[in-house]
Amino acid sequence: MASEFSIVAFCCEHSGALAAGTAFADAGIPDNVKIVSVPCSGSVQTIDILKALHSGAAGVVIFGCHDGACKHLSGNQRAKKRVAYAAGILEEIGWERERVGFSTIASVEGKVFSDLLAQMTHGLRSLAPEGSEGV
Amino acid sequence: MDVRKTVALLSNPEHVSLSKRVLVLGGGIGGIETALNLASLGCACTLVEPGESLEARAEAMFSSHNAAKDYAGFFSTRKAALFRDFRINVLLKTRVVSVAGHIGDFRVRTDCAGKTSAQGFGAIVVATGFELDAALPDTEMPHRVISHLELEKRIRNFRQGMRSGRAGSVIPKDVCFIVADSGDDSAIRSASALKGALAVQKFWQSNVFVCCQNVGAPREEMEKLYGEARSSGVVFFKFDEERPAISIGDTVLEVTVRDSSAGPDGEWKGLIKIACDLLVVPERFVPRPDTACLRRLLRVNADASGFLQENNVWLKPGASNRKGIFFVGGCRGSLDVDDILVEARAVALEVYNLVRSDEVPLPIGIATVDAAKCALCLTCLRSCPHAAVEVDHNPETGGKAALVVGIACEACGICVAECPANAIQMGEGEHQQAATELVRLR
Repeated sequence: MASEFSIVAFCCEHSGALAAGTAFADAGIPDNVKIVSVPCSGSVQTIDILKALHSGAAGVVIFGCHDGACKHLSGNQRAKKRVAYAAGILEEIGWERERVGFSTIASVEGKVFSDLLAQMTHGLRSLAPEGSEGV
Repeated sequence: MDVRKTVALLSNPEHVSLSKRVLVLGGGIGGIETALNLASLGCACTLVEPGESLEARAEAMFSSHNAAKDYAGFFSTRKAALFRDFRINVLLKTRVVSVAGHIGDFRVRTDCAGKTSAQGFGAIVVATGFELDAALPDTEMPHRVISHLELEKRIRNFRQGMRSGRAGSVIPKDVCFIVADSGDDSAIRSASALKGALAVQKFWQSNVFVCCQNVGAPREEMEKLYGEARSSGVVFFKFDEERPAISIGDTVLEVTVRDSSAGPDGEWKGLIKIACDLLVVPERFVPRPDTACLRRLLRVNADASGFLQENNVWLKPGASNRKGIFFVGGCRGSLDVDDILVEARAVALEVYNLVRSDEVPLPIGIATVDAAKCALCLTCLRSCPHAAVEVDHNPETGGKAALVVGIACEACGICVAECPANAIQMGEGEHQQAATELVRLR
């Protein structure tokens, strides 16, 4: 990874991945963000989140559809719960729960997408000790 | 991703055949119109109605409710066409007892006066309609505060009395209507209030006041009704968030309404007191009592108020959370007749598009269960948002396992994520991508 640290963004292909496309065409997506397109935010397992962190990501975020806009009706609710569960696990092992996040987004919200990622990057930078790789 | 899906679709040899028979539940105008449209597209239909006749369900339609037009004649011609059409089988006094299977192969058991029969259908259209709840606020003068239906009944009785020369009951001098906005109902409520107001003025020659939040007149004929009401002397008051207060005296009802269009200035601040002999308030639209039972049988979701169809942008008019099950009209909320007719046509086309080809390819990326790993905990059955999972009995091994029905699967991967035994895998091309991306990260 060329940049200081990376964020894995699991993006629902009906909203998050399209928002990523909008953001990419608009303001661009930072290099440190890895977009992983998934069929539904509800298909991201807790183990996927932890594996991503284990693989070297400094933070993981799931982008799902807004409430009432999930194609699979309850997928976004499930994703939200799983992120909360993963945050609990992180806290138990002494990591910061801010490393994982869930956000709802629409395909047109490219700006919101970049802003949220920038915000997360900023937050993670404050967590990372000076000189470390971020984890 | 789309390119890969297309390539997979072209190379996917698996096809499933779908039955072209369609089951329509409910013999109101929505059900009749859907069946007729499907029949004209070449689909054989069975229309199931629990009542003794089709008119019973459509009764509310004939009154001033629902729309500005008069639909009784329209209904009878459509009903006649329904019974004439050789592709449509109408079953009266029949109920659905159980529903098994999935899109293309629903196995439905029906009960007609104790006689059960089973039949297969490719798709199911629910058009069971809504009900009017005329429960009114508790008052000590129940004969003075009435619902629209009750008003209609009184006017009808009065006219019959006039015709037969009998003296009618006491005619109210001042009649007040209250129409408050409540979401989508407002057009229907306004139409019935306008029709009621005009009828009262015409037959009783009373003074008529209408207190409304908004007159929802989304159609030309409703606009005309409103114009007619205004020009014939019906007085309208418009209120905002502050609801009109009703005070009940010994002999007279008093409605206090703050008219927002009168402006905030001046001594009276738009506050108007209307003394009236009769107050008419709208009924509530509620789901029919059998809706909840039907929901369980069909494994479909409902919204917070119990109407079928969840509030979700992906559910186009008529679509449910299950492939092959559709909703038309009042069962998914209060709609007026014109909307129901449009929806019935749209749903008929949608059903036809779904079942028209003899064989359809299986969707790409569907989940599959490893029967050896499945502990039959039924987590997938509960968590599948599209009810595409069922329990499969393997006659060879005698074992049972969960089975994702390919044709009903939407490839969302929720069951894959939920399965505690890791027994479910996503098909080609979906989850593998996520896995590869993660490996690349290392």
